[in-house]
Amino acid sequence: MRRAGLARPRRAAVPVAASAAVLAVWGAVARGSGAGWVQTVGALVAGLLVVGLAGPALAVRRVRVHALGAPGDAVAGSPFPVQVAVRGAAVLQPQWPPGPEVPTAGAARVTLELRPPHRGVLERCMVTVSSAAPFGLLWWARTVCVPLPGPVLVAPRVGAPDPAVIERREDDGTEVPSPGRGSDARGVRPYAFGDRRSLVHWPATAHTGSLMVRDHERPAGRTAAVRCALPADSDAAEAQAERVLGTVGVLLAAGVRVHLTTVEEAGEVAAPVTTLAAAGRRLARAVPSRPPPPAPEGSSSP
Amino acid sequence: MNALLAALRHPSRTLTPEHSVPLRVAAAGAVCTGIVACLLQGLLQPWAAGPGLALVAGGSLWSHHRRTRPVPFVRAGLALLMVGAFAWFFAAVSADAPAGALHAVEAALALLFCAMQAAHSFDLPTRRDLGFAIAGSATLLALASTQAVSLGFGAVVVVWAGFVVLGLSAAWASMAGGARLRAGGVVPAALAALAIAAAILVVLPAPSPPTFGPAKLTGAPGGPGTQPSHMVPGPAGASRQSASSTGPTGVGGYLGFAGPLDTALRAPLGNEVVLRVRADRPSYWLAETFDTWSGQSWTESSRALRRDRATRVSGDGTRWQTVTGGPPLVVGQPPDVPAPTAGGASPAAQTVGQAPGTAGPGAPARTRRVPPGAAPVQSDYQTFYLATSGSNLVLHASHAMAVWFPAHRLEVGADGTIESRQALGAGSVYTVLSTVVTPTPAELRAANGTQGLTPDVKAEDLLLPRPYRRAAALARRITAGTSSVYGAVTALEHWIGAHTTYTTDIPPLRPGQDTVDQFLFGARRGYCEQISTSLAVMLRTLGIPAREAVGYVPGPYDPLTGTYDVEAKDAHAWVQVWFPGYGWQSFDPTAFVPDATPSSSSTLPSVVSAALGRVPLLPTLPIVGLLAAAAVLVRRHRRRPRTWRAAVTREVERAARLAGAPAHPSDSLGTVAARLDVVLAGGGPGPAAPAPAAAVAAATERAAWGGSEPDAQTARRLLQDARRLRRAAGRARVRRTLSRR
Repeated sequence: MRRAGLARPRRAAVPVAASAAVLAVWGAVARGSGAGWVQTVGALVAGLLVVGLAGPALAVRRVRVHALGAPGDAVAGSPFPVQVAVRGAAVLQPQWPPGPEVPTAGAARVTLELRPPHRGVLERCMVTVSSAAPFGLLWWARTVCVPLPGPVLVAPRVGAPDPAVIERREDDGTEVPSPGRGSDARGVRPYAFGDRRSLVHWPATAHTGSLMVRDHERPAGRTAAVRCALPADSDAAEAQAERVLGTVGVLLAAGVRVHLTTVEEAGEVAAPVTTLAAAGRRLARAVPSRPPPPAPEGSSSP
Repeated sequence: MNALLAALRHPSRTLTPEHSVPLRVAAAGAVCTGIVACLLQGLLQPWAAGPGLALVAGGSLWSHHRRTRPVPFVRAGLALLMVGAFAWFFAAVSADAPAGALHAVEAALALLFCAMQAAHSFDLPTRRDLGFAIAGSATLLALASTQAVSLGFGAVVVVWAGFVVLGLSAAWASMAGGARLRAGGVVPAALAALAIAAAILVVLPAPSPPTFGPAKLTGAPGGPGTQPSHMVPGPAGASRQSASSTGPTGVGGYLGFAGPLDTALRAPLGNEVVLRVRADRPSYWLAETFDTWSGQSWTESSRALRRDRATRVSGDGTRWQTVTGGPPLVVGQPPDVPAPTAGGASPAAQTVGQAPGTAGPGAPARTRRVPPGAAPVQSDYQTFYLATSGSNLVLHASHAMAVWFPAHRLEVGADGTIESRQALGAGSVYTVLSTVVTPTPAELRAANGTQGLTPDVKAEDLLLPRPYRRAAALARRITAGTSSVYGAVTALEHWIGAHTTYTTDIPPLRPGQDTVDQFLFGARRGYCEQISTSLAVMLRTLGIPAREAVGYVPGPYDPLTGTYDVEAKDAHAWVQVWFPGYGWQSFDPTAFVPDATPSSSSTLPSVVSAALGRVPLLPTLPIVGLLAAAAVLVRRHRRRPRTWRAAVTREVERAARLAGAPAHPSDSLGTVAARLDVVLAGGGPGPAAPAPAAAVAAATERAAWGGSEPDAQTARRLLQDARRLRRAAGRARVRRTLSRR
């Protein structure tokens, strides 16, 4: 764990003012009465107040947080768990990515729930460690940076697909491809509504007693190249990534091979993606880039 | 502004019910302790404290039971009850407690707090409410602590602090999600709070008296308004020399309070505390004075007058008067302080506080104007708590003006002696307001003569049973270079201090033997009565009115109780000398006289033991015990084995040491274990045959060096085996020892 900040009191005005008022009144009573026991009890109360007000500063410094486990993938806006080991009683609240408050209750291991608002690669998280130990009079908090065991790739949300890509594909007369429209027959299958009459395989129909049609291989060359060019503005880049993921999702659902090109820290990466999760990982790593070169013929760029 | 509004809104938000049982127990315990503290100090009567305790306990149970299902209108009903309680309180204070009757206000306040806590205990659903209950218990304890004068109150404070620490720790555990209370977290926090409290007590001066204790009486002359400056100088402590400190404990009773003051003998006085005094400043608390010297004893002439009512002087010449009414009983008037000799035309440089309620016909004014340049005049409140039965003399400092006394009648002598009609038993409490005039030495040097003394008083205070020619010659020789009364007194004091020694270890005087002659021209060893009598007689031979005074010197100041613990051996005798305009001023020649056996009291061990003897045992011993326990725990914690392998190694090495085959630094664990096996096998089978040490050592070494870390259960088993080995070695050692015998 790496320290990321000094301990600071939270909402200190009321406890400190109340303590000062109590001690002032007590001091006045002690001075007015001249009774040694008043001063003794007042000193005891002062000791309790000092420990109660300043003790959490020490307690919160002694708290240690280590991440034990975290998933490799996450989705922006959706919570994912991170298991952490805690030494010392405290209340943990993920600050970045944000998450709900989790009291440790003296347990050695607790699970934090992080909800990343944006896509990206998450290698550490910021956690606010709060403590009012030992007397619960005043909260002190400090923010610590907790390295995660491995990078968490936070995919963007699945946004609406780019309508231009869909429309362009329909304008080209290329319907949404489906299995069974290729030229090479790979077998027979039962007839489905819409099958052409020429596809009926009569010997198989005679053999099985039901109408059978030839099943062809998937048409070759149905690949979509998707280039993701993120703008510099983070919000616009997030929206763009969501749109790309939505588009890729539609394409993958339609059976199209998607060749996704993104720009990462190391440079441009162009590789096919076969699942939505893989596309999400690629988009998680994507960084803004310069405007892409003109798209080659037969490819689409959202 | 927004932050302020948020802070104001914050407390009114809906809070979740509190489920922590320890927190509720601690809150109820703290409140009950506060009520008990008020009961013990007499602020609450049993008829109020008993139901209060029952209501707090029952209310806490009920609150816990209904914490998630609050009963409607309970809070409103309790608020109405509180309003009624406050109305009763203000009515009681304004009707039954006149100005100055503070005891009535405190009792009403305690009852009000008790009622508030009892009612509040029925509405404790949340953690915040329980915190308020704990804070409210502090008000009860504060109220009780204003009345506490005994170290026994420390037990109540310790119990209350324990409940508070437990409650606060439980509150934090609840805030942290229901964590278990651990002694490792609570004890250090409590010790830290205790240490800070001790530091505060050490650093901050006691509020009263602010800057001095009894030892100040022997400090530099002209001290800040403590005693008359002429009382203070001297090489030895008056308190220490006032009586024998080696007398048998438990024997009290100063002969000087019984009537005539016989200077021929001095009974040994004990160390028991006879009274505690809470006072604005340490003083010589006067019991009575004597004006008639017979050669061996002092008597008070007005006392004889009072015994014979028929000869009682009346009118302006009244020697004794009966004061009735009160409280308070007005027993005197402020002394007439002389106006400045030059300048000082502007009025009111100083005012003298008076007891509330003393204004009225014949009573001193509430404030009195004192011209600038006049001697400092200060009011001094003293409250006397009698720990043992005493005489009927009412002690007071200097010039008593008003007495708050548990009776409505007092006898006041012209010499300032105050007597009660009945003896004062243990537990009696009374308060005296005195006016202390503290002229400077320069002012006293300027005050010569006998102006202000009535002729009969002057005659009695100059009367001597015989001429005392040798003492007179000695006095004239000593005071030859002086021109004032003050100079004569100080010269005689210094001569006595230089030529006599203090001791109580002298035989009683023979009947008819003169005390002054024996002391000044005989052994020159004696005690305070003889020393002061010698000074008084020498002053009378010079024509200076002087008389003998007896009373108590302040005992050690107890910062916990805020009182001076006056012991029986603090009974003392000193001299009063008349100064025109300043009245009778006290002089203590004993303070100048060195001990006859200085080595017994001036050595470092005796000083250290005396200092240690003043340390109160009740809070000190528990604190020292806690610190020692904490040190042991910390040491054990730091030395604990960090891993199970280290723990096994330590146990095997301990077993080897017990078996008589201690491990050498060059031995491996396997070597030690093999040797241990041999020794244990030779000692015969034990009650529970442990696993061979070699097996335990081998497994441990494999884990340490072979990288084969066993699972937790195996490690635990190995550690248990190592402990069995150690116990077996211990049993074998016992058998060996017994067989040798």
